[in-house]
Amino acid sequence: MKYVPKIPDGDVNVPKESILKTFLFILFTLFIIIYLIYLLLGFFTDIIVKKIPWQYEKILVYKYFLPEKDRDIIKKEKKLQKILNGLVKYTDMKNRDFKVRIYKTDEKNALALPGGDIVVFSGILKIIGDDERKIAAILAHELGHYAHRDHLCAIGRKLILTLILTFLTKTDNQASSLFASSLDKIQLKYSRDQEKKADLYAVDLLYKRYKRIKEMIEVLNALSGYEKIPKYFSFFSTHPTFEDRIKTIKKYAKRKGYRI
Amino acid sequence: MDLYILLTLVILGFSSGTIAEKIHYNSIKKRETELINIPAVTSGDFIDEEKEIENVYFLDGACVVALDYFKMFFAEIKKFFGGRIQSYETLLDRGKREAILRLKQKAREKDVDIIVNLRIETSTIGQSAGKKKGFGCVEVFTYATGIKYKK
Amino acid sequence: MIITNIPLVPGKKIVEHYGLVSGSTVRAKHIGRDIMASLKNIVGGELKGYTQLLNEARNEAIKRMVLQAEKLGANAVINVRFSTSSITQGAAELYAYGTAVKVE
Repeated sequence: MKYVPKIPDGDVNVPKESILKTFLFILFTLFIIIYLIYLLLGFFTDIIVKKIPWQYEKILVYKYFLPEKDRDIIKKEKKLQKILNGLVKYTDMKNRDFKVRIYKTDEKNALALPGGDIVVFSGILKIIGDDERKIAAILAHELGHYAHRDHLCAIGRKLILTLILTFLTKTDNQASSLFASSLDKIQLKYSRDQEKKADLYAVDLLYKRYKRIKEMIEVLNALSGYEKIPKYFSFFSTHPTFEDRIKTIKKYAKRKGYRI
Repeated sequence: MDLYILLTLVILGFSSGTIAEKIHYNSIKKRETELINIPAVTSGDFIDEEKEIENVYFLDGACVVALDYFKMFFAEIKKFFGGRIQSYETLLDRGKREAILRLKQKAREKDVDIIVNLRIETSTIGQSAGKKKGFGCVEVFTYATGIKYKK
Repeated sequence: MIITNIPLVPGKKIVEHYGLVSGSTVRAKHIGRDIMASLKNIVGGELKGYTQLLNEARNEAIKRMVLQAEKLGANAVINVRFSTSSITQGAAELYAYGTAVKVE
């Protein structure tokens, strides 16, 4: 037998189509699929959460402890409770019981915990002082979260997010972590929308109670001095920027005819 | 922040990887044409029995290929859908052809007339790709017997 | 196209040979299959999804090798060998190689 030298066609083992095109196509498809799953599941949580009775919510809550309080804080808590009770009368959540707790920390924030506990950090109280209407603005914002059941929606969504992520990260690779962080961004957008809605609820409530909303804007203005995130990174934040929030509130007040 | 590092690495991997691949393929094709006169076969039956054998050599050629971030990333997202993983195919193809060419290069240095019983093996070094830590690299190892006839 | 894994084609004489031909492919199953496979791990037995995956990959590799041989003008590939590598998890990398020959 004799040898016939011929160059084999090596290209049969090399993909013919452009890798970049395929890459972009599958990346895009995958993003859309994951986004759709998330939206769909998120939509269902929102429906389900709104149907959970108030009484059950308290059962869901894990018992937590706040550190010992001194007499000063107890006095302040009582004062805040009175303001809160005044506000609740104007809402349609009269049958729920809300409790204010003050937590001693420099953090400038307030939380709406599931079950009806509003935690106000002492840092925020220091900034806004003793004005009843200003404190009411903060409490009204948190009541807005309760009215929209935002705390439960957030838990539900976080749960779904975790589920999807576990499913994705089963393979434990970089691609999953990319999807994880992009899903987080979507979650943040949702969180910012929630904050805006709570703000508007607070505006309505404050107007019903005090016939003015000037303090709400003042509080936000005061807090804006302590903004931690640079403006252009608001995409990565759970809250919209204070500037944005004030703008939205002013627009809303104008539409509703509230005096600022 | 991790996201940006990853994206940078993917873009870097794609641009440098594509250029390097083009250069490598050009060099592979050139050398394949140069070395075409030495036949390489997978069995031992091709030895010409009429000719006297002067010498027999054991030949080998190895090449370790590693992934870049683009290839890795491509494979990872492709795995959600299944099917061909194109980015690895080119890499393995390059590795194999390079290893065979190195073997043939050795054969030419020894003036071998025919390479018989060629075998190709691959082994994974370190970790396989797809894990967060470690990177995928594969060694392609080829070995064969070179026959030199008496002239 | 005749494919054998012995160094000859029984009953036929080899006239010409063209050297090495090879075909390779890397294939993966979609993630649903991976999950089914991990569930199947609990009870053991055959993983049909992966059997299928490897079969597909092997056939693809052979197909490419044959294509290469055809382009050289061969009508048989003898002494075919397979090789596998694991560059990544959940994917099959198969490589088939042989000698392209022309038989009478």
